[in-house]
Amino acid sequence: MIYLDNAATTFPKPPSVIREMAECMRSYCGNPGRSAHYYSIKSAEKIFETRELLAELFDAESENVVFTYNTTYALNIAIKSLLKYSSHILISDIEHNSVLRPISKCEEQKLCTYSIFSTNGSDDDILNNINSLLQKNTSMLICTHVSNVGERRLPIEKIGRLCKEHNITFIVDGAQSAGIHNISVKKMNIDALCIPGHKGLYGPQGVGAIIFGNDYVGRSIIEGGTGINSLELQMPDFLPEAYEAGTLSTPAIVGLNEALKWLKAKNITKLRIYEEGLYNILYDLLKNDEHIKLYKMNDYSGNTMCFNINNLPSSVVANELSKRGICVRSGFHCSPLGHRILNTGNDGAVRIGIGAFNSKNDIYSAYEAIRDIEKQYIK
Amino acid sequence: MCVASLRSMTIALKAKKVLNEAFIECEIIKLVPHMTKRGCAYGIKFDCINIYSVENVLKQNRVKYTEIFRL
Repeated sequence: MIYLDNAATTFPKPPSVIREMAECMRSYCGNPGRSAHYYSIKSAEKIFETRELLAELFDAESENVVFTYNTTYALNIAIKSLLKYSSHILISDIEHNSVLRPISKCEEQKLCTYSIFSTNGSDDDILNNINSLLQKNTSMLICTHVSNVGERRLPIEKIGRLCKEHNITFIVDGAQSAGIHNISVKKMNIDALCIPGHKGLYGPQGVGAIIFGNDYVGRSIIEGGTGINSLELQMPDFLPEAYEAGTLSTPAIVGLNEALKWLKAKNITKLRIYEEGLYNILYDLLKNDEHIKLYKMNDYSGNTMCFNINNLPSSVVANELSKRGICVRSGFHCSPLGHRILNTGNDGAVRIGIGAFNSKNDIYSAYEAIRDIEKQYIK
Repeated sequence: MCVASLRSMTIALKAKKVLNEAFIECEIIKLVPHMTKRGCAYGIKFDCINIYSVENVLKQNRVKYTEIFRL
């Protein structure tokens, strides 16, 4: 099998990730932050070390790293806890449902209003689009760093500066960029960076994080045990425990810990250049194929490519690729706004997501499989 | 022995790390209920001979402690 669905979740994982998760389950997986015995302390130490690794990678303070289950939970917590009621929110026109749905619900509940800014054009165009939509009560801007369908990368450093000038809370969805692009929470004026452990960071599923830019604590979203201040009815008013009710997933977090060490050793810039090289090979193979419709938001070459074969439904193409041992994802990728921009129609598109473990041969095999499907379906 | 009380395990681990980096031996303990007004909390136990060094290292590294007391 050739795995090319890395935009959904990277696979395989570095062997050290699997080894340490098994070692954790076998040797020391106590409840972190609940006791002072060996197992609890050892688990807590590993979790703390992982906070430090994430803080180093994203240029933040380790206490400001809050663990969640995934990016969606991270975004929901960040948005709902930092939201100023009755205020106005800005989101981009390429947001994933993990931003669009919470914001839509917020508006439905009359807690906020929102506008969508266009990401078409240059960086200056995007900033002008944002400026044109600012209202007196705009309190929050949420945007993805990199689209999960079109390789559009937003100028988050410039947007962060604009947000700071206008005293707007800036939340970034780093689902497709964490571990692939350099992100500095401090330099980019990000108030909350929401990331997955299982994509570009190469950790396991079941762990994500919010990297807060400061130690401000908003309203709690999930309440419960934290192992501290147990006699009080309210959640702790400090990070990270303010947002970490219940037992953390120690095995997943220690897996992420090893993944971050692996990533550091590999160097994320080198990995990105490698993946872009594979992307360019595939793009060059497909761009002259008369039956292929390639969807691109800009000229940037990343690691994620969307396409269709003539009018074949994307699900049919993905199924046929699967029969040929190529794993990709079809449909709308939980990103209806992005697909609207790509104009993919009623059946979305086939998405190829390239990862660090892919090779040139994987790309050539995928191309051969696509050609084979064309021969089968296009007479 | 002395104990610096800290508001969470995360802060206790940070305190332990910076103290160890300053070659000050210490261990994390869970504070017994009568030591804290807010319920469960953690502390760093160390030799009282190091009390001034501990205070300095924690302050330098912006590790907030609630209080330091003798056991």
